[in-house]
Amino acid sequence: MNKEIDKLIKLKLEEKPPKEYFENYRRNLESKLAGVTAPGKINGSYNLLPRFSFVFNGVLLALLIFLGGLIYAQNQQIKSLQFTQEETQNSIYKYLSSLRMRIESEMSADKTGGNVQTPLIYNRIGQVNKKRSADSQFTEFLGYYYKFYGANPLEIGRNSSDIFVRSPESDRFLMGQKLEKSEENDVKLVLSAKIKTFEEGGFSYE
Amino acid sequence: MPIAREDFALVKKVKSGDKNAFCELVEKYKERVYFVAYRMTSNHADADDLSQEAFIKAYQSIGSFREKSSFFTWLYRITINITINHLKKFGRNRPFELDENIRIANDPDSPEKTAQRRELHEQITKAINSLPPKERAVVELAILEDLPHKQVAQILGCMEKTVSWRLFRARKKLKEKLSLYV
Repeated sequence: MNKEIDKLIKLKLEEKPPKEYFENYRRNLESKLAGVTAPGKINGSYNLLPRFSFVFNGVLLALLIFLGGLIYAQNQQIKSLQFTQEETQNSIYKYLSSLRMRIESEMSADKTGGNVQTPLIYNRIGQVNKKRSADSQFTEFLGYYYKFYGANPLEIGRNSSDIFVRSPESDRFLMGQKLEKSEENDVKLVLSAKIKTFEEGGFSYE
Repeated sequence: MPIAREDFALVKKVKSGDKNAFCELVEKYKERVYFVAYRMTSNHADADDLSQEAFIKAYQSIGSFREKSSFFTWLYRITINITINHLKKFGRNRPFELDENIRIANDPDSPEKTAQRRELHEQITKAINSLPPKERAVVELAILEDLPHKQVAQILGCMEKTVSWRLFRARKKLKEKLSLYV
């Protein structure tokens, strides 16, 4: 069956162009070829591109993967740094909060006349240097107080006698003790003077 | 000198800038290239344009011919691709009458028989023209050129199994169209 159909189709082979057609073929083609540039012999560097395109593609791909990896690694590093920073901030915040709470609780215990523990600040001042003058220790106390408590010590000094100040006469620390009436005015005066110095920027640690 | 070697020698000359060597190749293959284009388009003017276009394209890109196949296989491939593109672009089902410029060899003397013969050719051409371009190319190469499937696959850039399948489908369609004559 295939042979029959093939035989029929092969009748197409009998179809021919005009006799003179192929005689003029070459001439016609030559006239067209005259306008065509010389055959592209592969010499130019640009022709190397297709031949080695797979190499260039590979290199490009590797470069992209490397860059992607680099960016990813950098992001991870930044994230870990941010995490560490947050952790540090959190621990500092926790430490400061606990410190503040401790100071506050000690302060309130003093105010209510409860069992007075040695306050942290006093401890620190007391332990810092016994040789230092009381004045410089008071200055440091104010610094700590201001730094950790965040309130204006002047207010406390004015409204309450339960404050941590040094009496100028006795040259001792008064830690949450109720001041004698006679001492109160002296204390307030000294405190006001110190706070004023502090607010004017003259406050300094020794 | 075997044909392939002779062709390769000419190709080398063309690559080194010898235009006459290319003209020798044209002289050698002009008819085969023309007929490939003609049998696929069934139009003399189209076949003329397409065959010349194929030669020009071969001349321009001969630098990329790596001599892994014969020059003729390479040239066939160019011609088939150009013709398939042409068919895709301008449609394959144009109304058909046997081209006036085409003569049928061994025409019988009697006018009546001549007319019958022409009609048969028109029916065959119509049947072939109804095929998709790729099946038409397989019919041209495997039936009319009688090339082995392996070479057809090489020219069309596909697998041998694809060639067989396309040929099977093409034959089936042609049998249906030409059932009166088979």
